[in-house]
Amino acid sequence: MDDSQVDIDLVSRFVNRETSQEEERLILEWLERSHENRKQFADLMLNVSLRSMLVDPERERCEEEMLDLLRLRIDADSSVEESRLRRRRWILPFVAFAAACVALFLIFTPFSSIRRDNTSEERYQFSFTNTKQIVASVTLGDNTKVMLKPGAQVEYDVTGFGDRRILKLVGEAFFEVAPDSLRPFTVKTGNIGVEVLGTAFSVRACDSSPESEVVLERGSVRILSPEGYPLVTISPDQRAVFNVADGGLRVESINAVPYIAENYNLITLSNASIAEIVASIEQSFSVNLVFDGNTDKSGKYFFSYSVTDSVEDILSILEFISGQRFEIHSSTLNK
Amino acid sequence: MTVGKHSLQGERDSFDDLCRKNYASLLSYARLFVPVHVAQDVVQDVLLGVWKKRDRLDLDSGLGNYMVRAVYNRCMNIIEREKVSSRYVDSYRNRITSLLSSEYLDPDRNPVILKMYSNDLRKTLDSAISNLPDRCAEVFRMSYEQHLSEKEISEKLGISVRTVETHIYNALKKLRMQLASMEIS
Repeated sequence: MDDSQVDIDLVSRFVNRETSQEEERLILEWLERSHENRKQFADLMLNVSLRSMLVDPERERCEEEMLDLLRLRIDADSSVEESRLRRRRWILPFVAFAAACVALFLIFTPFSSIRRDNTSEERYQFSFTNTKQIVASVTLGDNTKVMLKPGAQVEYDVTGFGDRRILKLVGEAFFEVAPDSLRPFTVKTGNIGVEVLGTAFSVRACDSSPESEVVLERGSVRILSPEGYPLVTISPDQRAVFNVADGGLRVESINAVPYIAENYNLITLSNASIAEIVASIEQSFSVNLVFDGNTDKSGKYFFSYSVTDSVEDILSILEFISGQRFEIHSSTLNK
Repeated sequence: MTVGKHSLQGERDSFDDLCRKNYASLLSYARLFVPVHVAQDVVQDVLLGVWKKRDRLDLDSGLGNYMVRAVYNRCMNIIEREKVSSRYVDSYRNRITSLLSSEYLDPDRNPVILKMYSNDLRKTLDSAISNLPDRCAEVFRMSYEQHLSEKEISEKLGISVRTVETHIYNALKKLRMQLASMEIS
């Protein structure tokens, strides 16, 4: 790539995430060449950004949409504060978990009016149960990714013409919801509903336990009572635990990324050598890997993978970041 | 602390104003680092943070700068996390972003950033546009105020699409330079 090829059009496509991997590779090479190149590219990015800021016909609509969401979040926060004041005599004692956890909200919700039969009217087009002993991942029709713990079951209808995307969950799952501002995504369990305002989070709702748990990694979700009343909106790095038996709800802070990684079999290696990464993959998948030992092995990498991914996919990422070829020694492959 | 209903509503209204004034700029800034739907979450989280901390933040002085820095920090955290969880395998893009973000797109290293993203641009824009060459300003207004496409502008003015593009990008370049030289009020 030479200077004449770096024009506003290319930078505009880069900012809008329309460039191909190959183009991005060339851009990176070009940027690494000199300070001037980096300065020029950053300036062009600012130009593109200034333009999107000024010349966006959709802007007012987007602003109002965002304000509506923001108001919901503020209302959800303050309604919890208010109900806490009003219903003081019903507040139940709670036990804080570890010292690091901070309880933020606690409210009582009456349950006399739960209608257990209200789900019978709802029809779901698809259902999926994870019968394996490891976490399984499914991609729904709207591109939402769901990772299911063993035994977890989902029923869903997310591609229809309805104005909502609804999923029913029994068990534990992690969600990375595909954004669609026109059709909100709701996860229902026996005890709570989770309304998604754009986002990555996990839900644990086992029939045998009175407690349901939601952990939020990114974005924002609203927890709903079984009747559909908003209980609380949680922020990234918070965990809400709702007890259907006594109506207690607590929200505490948690470091969501390692929590989710640990729970969903994401294996994370930090500052690891290629040999360490290879050893970890070999152990996770019961395979032997062969690679060219002559090339530079001194690099240290951040590397993480999910044991539910295919070993071939993981190797192609590893090849990509390390520049080395790996092969699975087929005679030892033990599926 | 008790807040009367009237003053809370007043607070909510001025907060809405603040959001409207800053949303477009903060979103454009966040989009330099993360995909648009993540950028929306980031800006919303930052604004919610401002609301929650409203008692402690001085809403008049330096809030714009505070929000730009908050957006930057959140975006950098997200990029760091994605490196760890590697759920987005766009590594060339992440490496490009890392390469540029610390030196050229960091509000504390490049003063243009704060000037561009922390002001209510619409207020200062009119005077900035009037300083542009006539034809350039005309094209830019048609694009910015009337939301016409480049093709529509070229048909209306009888000039080529390429010329329209050139005018718009010259205008943006000059505006950016003007904004950079402007004092932060």
